Amino acid sequence: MEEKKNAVIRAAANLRATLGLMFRHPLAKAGLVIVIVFTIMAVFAPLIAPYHHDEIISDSSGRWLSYQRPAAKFWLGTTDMGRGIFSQIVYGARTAFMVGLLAALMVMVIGTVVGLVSGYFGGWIDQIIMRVVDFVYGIPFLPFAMVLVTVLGGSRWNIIIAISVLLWRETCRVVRSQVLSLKERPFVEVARSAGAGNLRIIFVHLAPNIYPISLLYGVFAVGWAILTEAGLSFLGFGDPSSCSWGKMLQEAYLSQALSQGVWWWIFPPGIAIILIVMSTYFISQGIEEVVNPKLRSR
Amino acid sequence: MNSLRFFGRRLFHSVFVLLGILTFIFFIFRLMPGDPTALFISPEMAADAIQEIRKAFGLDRPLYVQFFLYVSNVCRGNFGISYYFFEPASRIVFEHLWNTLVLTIPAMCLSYLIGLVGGTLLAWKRGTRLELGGMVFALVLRSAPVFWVGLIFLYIFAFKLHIFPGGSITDTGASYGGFIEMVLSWKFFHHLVLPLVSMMCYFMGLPLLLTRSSILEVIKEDYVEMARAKGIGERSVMFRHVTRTAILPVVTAFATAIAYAFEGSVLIEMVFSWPGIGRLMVMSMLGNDYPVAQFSFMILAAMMIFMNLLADSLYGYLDPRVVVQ
Amino acid sequence: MKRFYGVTWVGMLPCLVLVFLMTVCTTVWAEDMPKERLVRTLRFIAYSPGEEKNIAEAHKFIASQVKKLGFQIDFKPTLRSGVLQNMWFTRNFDLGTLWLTGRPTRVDPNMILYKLYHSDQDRPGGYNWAGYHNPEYDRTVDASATAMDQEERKKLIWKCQEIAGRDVPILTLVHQMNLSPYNNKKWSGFVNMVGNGLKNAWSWTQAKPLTDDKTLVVGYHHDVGVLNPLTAHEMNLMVCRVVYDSLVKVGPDGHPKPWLAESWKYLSPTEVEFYLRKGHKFHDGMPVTARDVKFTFDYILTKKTPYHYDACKIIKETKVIDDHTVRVILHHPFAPLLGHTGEQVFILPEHIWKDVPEKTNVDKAWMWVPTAEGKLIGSGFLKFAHWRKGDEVRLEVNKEHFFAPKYEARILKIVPSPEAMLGRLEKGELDIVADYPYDGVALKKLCDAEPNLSLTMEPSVGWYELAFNCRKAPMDDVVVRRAIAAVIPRDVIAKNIWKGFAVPAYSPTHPMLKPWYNPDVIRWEKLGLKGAKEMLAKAGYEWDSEGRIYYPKGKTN
Repeated sequence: MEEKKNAVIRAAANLRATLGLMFRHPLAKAGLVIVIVFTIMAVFAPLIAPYHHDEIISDSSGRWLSYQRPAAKFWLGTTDMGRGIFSQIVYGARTAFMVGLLAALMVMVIGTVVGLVSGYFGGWIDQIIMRVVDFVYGIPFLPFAMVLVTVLGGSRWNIIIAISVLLWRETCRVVRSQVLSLKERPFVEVARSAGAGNLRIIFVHLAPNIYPISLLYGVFAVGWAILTEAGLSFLGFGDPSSCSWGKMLQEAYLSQALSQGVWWWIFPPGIAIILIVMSTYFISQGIEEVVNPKLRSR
Repeated sequence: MNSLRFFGRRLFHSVFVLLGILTFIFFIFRLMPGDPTALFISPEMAADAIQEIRKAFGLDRPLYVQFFLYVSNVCRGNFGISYYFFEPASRIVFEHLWNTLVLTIPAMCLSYLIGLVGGTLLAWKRGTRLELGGMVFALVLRSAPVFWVGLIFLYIFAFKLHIFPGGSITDTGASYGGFIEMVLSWKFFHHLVLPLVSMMCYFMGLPLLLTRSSILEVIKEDYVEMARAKGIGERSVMFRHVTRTAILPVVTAFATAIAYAFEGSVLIEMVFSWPGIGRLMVMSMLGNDYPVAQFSFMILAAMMIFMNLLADSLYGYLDPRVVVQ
Repeated sequence: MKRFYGVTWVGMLPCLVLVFLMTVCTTVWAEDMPKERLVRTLRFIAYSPGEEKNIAEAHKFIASQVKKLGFQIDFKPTLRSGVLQNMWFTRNFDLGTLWLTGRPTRVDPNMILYKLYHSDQDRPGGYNWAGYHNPEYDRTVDASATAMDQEERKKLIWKCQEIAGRDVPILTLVHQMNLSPYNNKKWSGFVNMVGNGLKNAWSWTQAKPLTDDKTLVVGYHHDVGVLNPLTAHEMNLMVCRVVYDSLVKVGPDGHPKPWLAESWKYLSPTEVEFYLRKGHKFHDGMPVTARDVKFTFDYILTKKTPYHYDACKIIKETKVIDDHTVRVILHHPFAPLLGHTGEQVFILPEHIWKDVPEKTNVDKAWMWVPTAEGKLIGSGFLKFAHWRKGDEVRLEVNKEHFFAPKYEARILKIVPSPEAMLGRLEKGELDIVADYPYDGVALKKLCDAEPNLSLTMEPSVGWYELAFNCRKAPMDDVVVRRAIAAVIPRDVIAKNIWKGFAVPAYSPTHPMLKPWYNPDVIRWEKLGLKGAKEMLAKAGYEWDSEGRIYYPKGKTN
């Protein structure tokens, strides 16, 4: 009992130490703050947003309040159909998180597992997998996503699939090269001579060393996924029923907001995207500091 | 010679990969909803005309026959007839490809040049406020969606200040003898600036950061310490010993980045109505012109494969420390 | 590095919980109504906003309105290709929207009344996508096509509209405005045609240059795909309508006017004689004779070219009486003959087309590219000069034409984006945009601000519609369709979504089309939500405690 309690205390201390190390870098701290703000936005969207993202705001005579400038009543103004832009930004955070996190998770899992297997086993397994990776590398990202969405239909899930199916290639490559260099290390030999099976070696001994870099690329993947989703929505291949920042920009573009000077529609979605993606980069800086001691300032 | 053999072997593999992608493209485009009849159907059309149209485009045959025809056509360089233009898809795509190249290549070259110089500067000023500011700047550039940057530039410089035109590759009424003549004209340059700068903004981030971190890695290497110990000046150390090695990852990143730039140019081309291959692909996909969309995809895939191949070989060739497997 | 396990799991768990929270949606089963009578979720297919922004917004609005009746809607905006595929072939929808462009051939009401509502047009690729089968309607519209007496025909056409409005298999939504901005300091004389705006042959022939610039620059947003008089692409038609002549052309008031045929006479209800203008020549100097007319009709009928074949099917035989007289014998009397066939079919030069496609490198005549061989030769008032892909089509005036325009040349300029179009209008690089497809608000603002830009607005003869799939429940019940029609306020849609750049379409026929327009077609929206629910309740529909709607007793999905 006592032992278990000590183990838990030690694990907690470990965790705290690691987190402290990760977020010691000022950028990582900033990133964390931004992420927390957007998380609150996403989770409590119905409470924070004054209107639903699709709700058309009309005045007492029934006239739709389109193109209203930012004022006390509408913090960021309204769109051409009278929808609240601030509300759309808040709801958009949900889509951003969902797409970003899920796609990144899938990328991380697929990329890491494939990289581990390929790097560890080598031989013909490696050859086949590397040919598959070459194939995946040769497929242009955005066009493929467009085609997939056209065939499967535009929904958030299809976008997540389209993103994950190609994005894992980078993680896989990196993980594989890491495994290749670790494979010959003494601790692996020791484990093998102690009678550990392949699976055990991969997941118990190698994986912990791979984890940081895999996590690093996972965090990058969140940013890439969000940017890709924005791009796809802007082109018209997004999910028409959900609210995303890319879709907001598409609507603004199609409504010719540029020539009409509706700056309050064009700036906020872009700034939101910048903030979230930037925060993932900042946090990854923190992770990199842990992963790569050479980069530490002190 | 080792690397030459490596290159040859990889080239051989690449051909297979390309064939695999061609097959993949064929099947996935057959899954697309709708077919050319959608372009022709109107209330004025007769009932049996639909079969006629399908037959004219060879779409009434069974799938395996179509695939066989497709492969044999591709081997002969025939990539299909555009449903909209009734002309070879390859001709239409290549016309647009030049427009993309003339935008993307200068943008990438400039981005990487600026990125190299800027990254070196940042590494040099390690630990200062400038470095932190520079890094944040680079990260902001990488976080901003490239089409949004384009929109903002359009808004400010084209619509508010009227300095630059609001899109397209050249003015109405301007006619040129050929592509080269257009490219060398002042009007073309005028139209090129905004899309070029928008693209640069996005692509500049990576070389900036990569150069900086690469230099920081190399700077701690032993031979640099040696050079310092020998009494060689800091600037000389920087530019002669460090940069040469640090540049390697950036150069290979450049090769891969060009590949990404082509397919990423879709977004910029849509915003600025630039008649390039990316825009062609989107428009033909939305307009049911599948042969053109298919061939655009193929070209982009071929470029990506080739660029990756180049990147791999370049890395192997330039860095003597890397053991080619 | 083992510490990273901890970090990852600690970080992952809340993320996963977050995602779960955000995607969870609750369904509550109400236990007070029998499940098998619950109306299933309706499939509503629609265009995505990238294709057509206004109609996409209208769909969203309509979906929210229909939900108020208690229907559950699966609102599926798809890419255009998917929508068309579904509406024409798969027919897997309950509600769908489509858009018809306005064209001169559609001005005669028969085109729309027949093609969209007649039961034999319910076929793959047919325009009766609602699947409407009403023998009474079929009889009425067939009779209206054969009624040669104007008064009689008008009565029948009014009846068709009345039946269509009563049964509402298709709810016509709005006629969008044809917007035509033009430079009034440089040009005048444009003619407004009912349902088509300034985009018509009368405009092009009667336009007068006010300055020394004798080249009319017309802006268009779509690239020209192919220039072949046998193909139906919209852009292609814009060019071919002026490069080729047809026997008649629909006039600004919507009725056929003499064109290549100076006059015509009905010898019997099924025999018409056309008297062609004398001395008219093709652009290469060869004379236009009755032989060319006969050749054209026969050619289309034997080659079965997709676009024109249907218009020519009514023709049993064409006889050349003399060089300038041609007699057309029909299978049965056909009142819309002039408005359809007469307007639509371009008279081809026999000496060029008799070798097509046999002596060319294509299989089908309509796939031939005549411009590649300099053979886009017609007899129209504009001659083909050149076509620069993606840039422009240049046509020069045929000075020998009977309606030769007063300028020198017309350029069709391809301008791919709305911003570019507005910019060029402002700078004076475009003289007119025949059919401005983008947002009307921005355009109007520009035209109001610039004194040398005038803007003509004309409701199009085409429209947007909401189609109900009458082939299966619940849309097979006319009460349901009427109830849905009752909760869709068309004037609100025209005013707010189209911002006034559309007029409500209360009938499939254009409101300005005299004498065919029937103003008394029933307007279900007068009932409103309350009236709709009453109507449904009276027919036996019920609602549960959640507000979901159920079929009457004895009916299921």
